[in-house]
Amino acid sequence: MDRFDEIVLEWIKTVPSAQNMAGLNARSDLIGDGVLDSLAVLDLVSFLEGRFCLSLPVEEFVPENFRSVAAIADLARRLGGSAS
Amino acid sequence: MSATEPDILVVGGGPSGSIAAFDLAQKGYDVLLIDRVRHPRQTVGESLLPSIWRYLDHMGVSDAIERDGYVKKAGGVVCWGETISEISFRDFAYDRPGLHVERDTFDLLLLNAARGAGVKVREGVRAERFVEPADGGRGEVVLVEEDGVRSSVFPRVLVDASGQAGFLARLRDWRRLDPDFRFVSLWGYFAGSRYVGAGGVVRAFEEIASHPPMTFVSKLEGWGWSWHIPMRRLTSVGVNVPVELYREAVARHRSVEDYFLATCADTCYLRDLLSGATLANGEVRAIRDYSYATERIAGPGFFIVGDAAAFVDPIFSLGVVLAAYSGRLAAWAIDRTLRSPSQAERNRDLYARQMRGRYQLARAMALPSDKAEATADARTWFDFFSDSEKDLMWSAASMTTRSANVVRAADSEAVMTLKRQDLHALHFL
Repeated sequence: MDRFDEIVLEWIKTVPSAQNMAGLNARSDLIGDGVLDSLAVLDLVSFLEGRFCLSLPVEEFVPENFRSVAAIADLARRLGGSAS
Repeated sequence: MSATEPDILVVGGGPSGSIAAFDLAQKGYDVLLIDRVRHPRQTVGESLLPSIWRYLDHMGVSDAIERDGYVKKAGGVVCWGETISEISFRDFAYDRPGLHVERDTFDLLLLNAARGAGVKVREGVRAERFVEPADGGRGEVVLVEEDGVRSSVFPRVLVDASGQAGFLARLRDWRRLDPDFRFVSLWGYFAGSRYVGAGGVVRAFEEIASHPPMTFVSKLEGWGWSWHIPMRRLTSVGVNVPVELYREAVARHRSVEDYFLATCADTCYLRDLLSGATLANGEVRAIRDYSYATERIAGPGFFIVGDAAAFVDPIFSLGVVLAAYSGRLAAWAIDRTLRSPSQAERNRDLYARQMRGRYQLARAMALPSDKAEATADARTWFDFFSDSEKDLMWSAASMTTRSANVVRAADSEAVMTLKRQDLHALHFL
C-alpha cells in the first residue's frame, strides 16, 4: 500500500455500506459487494478530483477503474494525480 | 436570488425535479422550480424499489415516510401463464423494504424537502419557450402564469423535469415513440381489495400494516400485463394492453370503464383479489403511447431528467428510482460544468451515455418479445451494479420471461443467481 492506496481506502471506509464489510482491503470487490453503488461513485469521483488535483476524462468512467481500492489508486496515479 | 436570473431553472416538481433542485441548492446555487400544477397532485407510478431509501435518506425525508405510515412492500409475485413465482427483497441484500406510495403526498414531501434546502418554488406556472445560451452564458425561458401573463427568466442551466408532458422534447420534436411498445395503460383505484402477501398468501386489506404486501402482476393477452399495488387506503390496479387489442375490445364494451372492469374480472387471481372491492369514484384513467426516448437529453444549458427524458415500463418498479438517479446525476454534472465550463461537453456526454445505458436495460426488461440487442452503454452501466442488484434484475426479469433479454442487452458474462420461489397457487385464507 502506498499513499494513494491509503487515501482511497480511508475514503472508502466512510461510505455507509462499507461499515459492515468485514476485512475490507485494497483488493476487495467494491462494486460486486455493493460498497460503491452508482451514487457513491459520483461522490468518489468528486473526492478524487479534489484530493489528487486531477480531472477524470469521461472515457475513464468505467467499472474496471473503480472495482477495488487498488484499481482506484492506479487510476489516480495514471491520471497524474498528486498525493501530497 | 435575482427574480429573473436564477442559476438554475427546474421545470417540474416531481421526484427527478425535486431531487435535482435539492442537490443544486445544497451545492449553493440559486434554484427556481416551477410546476404548471399545484401540489399535491395525483399521478401514477406508486411502487418503489428498496433502493429509493438512498434518496430519501439523502433528502432527509425517511423519518417522515416512516411517520406517515406508507405501505412497505416485501417483494413481488408474478402470475405469468402457468407459472406463479415470488421474489423477496431480503434475498437480495436489502435490509429495508420497498414502498407503495400515494404519489400526491409522496411527491409533495420531496418538493418540500427541496423548499427546505432553499429552492424557490412557483406553482401554476408553465414553461413555453427556451432559447439556448450562447457561449456558456444564460439561456432564456418564457414562463406563462395561470392568468396568461408572460415573463422571461434567464437561468445558466435549465433542468427539464416535466415528466410525460416533455417540455423540451415536444418543443424541439425530439421525442421518439417506441414502436415495440404500442400499449394502452388503463388504471383505477379500488377500496377494500384483498392483497397478496409473502408466500402467496392472500390477505384482507385490514392486515396491510401487520403483513407487508407484494406487488402483484398478472400476464394478459399479447404480452400485456396487470398490476395490483395496495397502498394505505386504496389499491392501484392497472392493465397494459396492446393498442390493437384495446381498440377492438373497447368496441365490444359499453365504455372504457366497462372494458377495464371486465379485463380485471377475466384476469388470473385479479378477479379474486377484487371481489367485493369497489372502484373509487368509478373513475378509470388511460394513457397511450407512453413508451418513448428523447433524441437529445443534454445540450448547451439544459439537461432533461426523469420521465421527460425517456420512459418504458420494465415491470420492475423502476420509474421513480431511475428518475431520482437522473436528478442526482444531472445535478452532479451541472455542478461540474458550472465550476469548470471547459468540461461542459464531457459532462453532458457522461450524463447522456449513463441514462441511455440504463434506459436500454430497462427496455430489455420491458420488451414484449425476445429481441433485445446488446449496446455498449447498457453493458457499462450493468457492470456498475452490485452482484445482488444483478441477481435481482435477472430474477425479476425471469418472472416475466425476459431474463434472456437482460443478459443479451447487458452483453454480460456475470454469473447470476436466480433467487425466486415458485408457488403452485395463491393461498386464500
